[in-house]
Amino acid sequence: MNYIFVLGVIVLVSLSACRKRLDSFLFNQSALTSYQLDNYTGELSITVGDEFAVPDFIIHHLEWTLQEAGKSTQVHAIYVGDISRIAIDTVLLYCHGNKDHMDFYWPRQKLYANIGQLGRFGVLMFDYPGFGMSEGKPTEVNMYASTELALTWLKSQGLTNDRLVMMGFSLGSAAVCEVAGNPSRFSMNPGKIILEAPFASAEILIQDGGLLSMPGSFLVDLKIDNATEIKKVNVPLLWIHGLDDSFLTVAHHGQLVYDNKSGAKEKELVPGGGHETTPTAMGYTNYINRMLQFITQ
Amino acid sequence: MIKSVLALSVFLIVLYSCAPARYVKPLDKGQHALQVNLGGPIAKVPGIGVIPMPLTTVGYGYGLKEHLTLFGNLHTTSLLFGVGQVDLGAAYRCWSRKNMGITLQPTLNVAVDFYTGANRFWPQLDANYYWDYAEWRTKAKNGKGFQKIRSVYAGLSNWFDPYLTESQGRTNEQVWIPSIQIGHLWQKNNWVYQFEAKFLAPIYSNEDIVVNYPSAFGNQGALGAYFSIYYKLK
Repeated sequence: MNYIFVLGVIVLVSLSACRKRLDSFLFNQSALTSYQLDNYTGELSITVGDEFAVPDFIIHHLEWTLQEAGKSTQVHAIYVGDISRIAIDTVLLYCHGNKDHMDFYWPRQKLYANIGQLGRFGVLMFDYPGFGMSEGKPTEVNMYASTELALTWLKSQGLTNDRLVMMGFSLGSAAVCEVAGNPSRFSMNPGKIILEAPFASAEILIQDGGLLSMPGSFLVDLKIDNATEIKKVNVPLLWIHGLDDSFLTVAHHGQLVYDNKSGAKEKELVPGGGHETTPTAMGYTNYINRMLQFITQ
Repeated sequence: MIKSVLALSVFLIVLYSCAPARYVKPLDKGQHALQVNLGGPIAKVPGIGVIPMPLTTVGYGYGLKEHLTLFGNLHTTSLLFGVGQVDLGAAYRCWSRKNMGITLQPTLNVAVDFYTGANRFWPQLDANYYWDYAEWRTKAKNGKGFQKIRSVYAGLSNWFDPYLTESQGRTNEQVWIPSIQIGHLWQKNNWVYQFEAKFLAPIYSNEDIVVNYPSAFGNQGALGAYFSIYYKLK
């Protein structure tokens, strides 16, 4: 009987050493050898018309170096706007969702570059490690590390906290909440934040997905908890969420984040808006005008 | 977001809540049995198709009394994720006639995260009716012969989630999770093959949980398919 017990323990320990968490399922990245932007023929987050076109001369492809476990890896970013105006004007830092890469989200960046008017605000977007041309592993830690690279670059260009607006879509809401909720850990802190279709936490994602109320750690190592982080955020929030978002529902995700935020906050709940399609359902002009109202008030 | 959340959710739902009915027909007194099980909810997995989830358990049963079998099963799939999950229970035949019976299976499901220590337990109570609709016995000249029994069963499975508050203080609105199962047993001598179809959680909506379940109840619940093999040691 003792032999059986010992054998059982060995089997348990051996198998558990092979543990594979499901974190990678939250990162749905695709690699690229180059960014095509308007020439990209793959799936897009949204499709926008020529009225939101961005001329090539205000598109800047940036590269930063990330130190990951003693190795240097390259992180790629795209800035739309006049870099020389970063020192004097407001900049929107857009943290994209978990799908593919910047080419997928490029139409959104064009929309944001047209807030107010073309080039009114500079817009910076970057690929998390493992996404697009950015090297490295797609992990929660690396997502935050690459966000810090973006903040460091903006600061080096003369941006100040009061002129920084951070926007996070879906997974990107984690990067925004992490920065805004933990000012001392990052080189810059936003003056305002916009969250579109944020998810409440990795644990709630799991509890919603399963019928049983289980700890998040049963399946993922992710610590993402926007619903808690937002409690520490002291800057104004604009929450945008499609009422028809069946993937990250208003009730189970966005509303929790919004309710936990104290102080200045606004919301825009969009009838007919799905997870990706809220700008389309709202109408692109209405969508960016709503953002303009929030940024400039 | 969509594709990965779909894949994640498929795993979420299946890893910790599904197994076939255990010992619908209790073992004989003093009998030992080993069991392996494969199967889970049927879900549409992006890029793969509509498949039953390949979940596995291994287990042991012992006939303590004529109508009472004790059993324990290790959920090997969740073990691969660093979570030790076992179900421990008893199968008690509370009513029987010549070719049929009703069994109750009170079970305790326990899951522990080896890395964080987080743990959960979920009580379960199943009730199953079985009917041996065919039986053959032969006796060869060498005295070995064989015995074949064919049985069908149907029953109700009830999981109870005692954690009334979920993350961020949300109220757990799914404290009772019922399922309905029907199955078939093929027994030949010491081997028993079990196939079971389960209608999982038919009282709960399968919408807005980001996974596409083919269900017999439209937007409610999910279907599950399971295959088990028992070997009776003695």
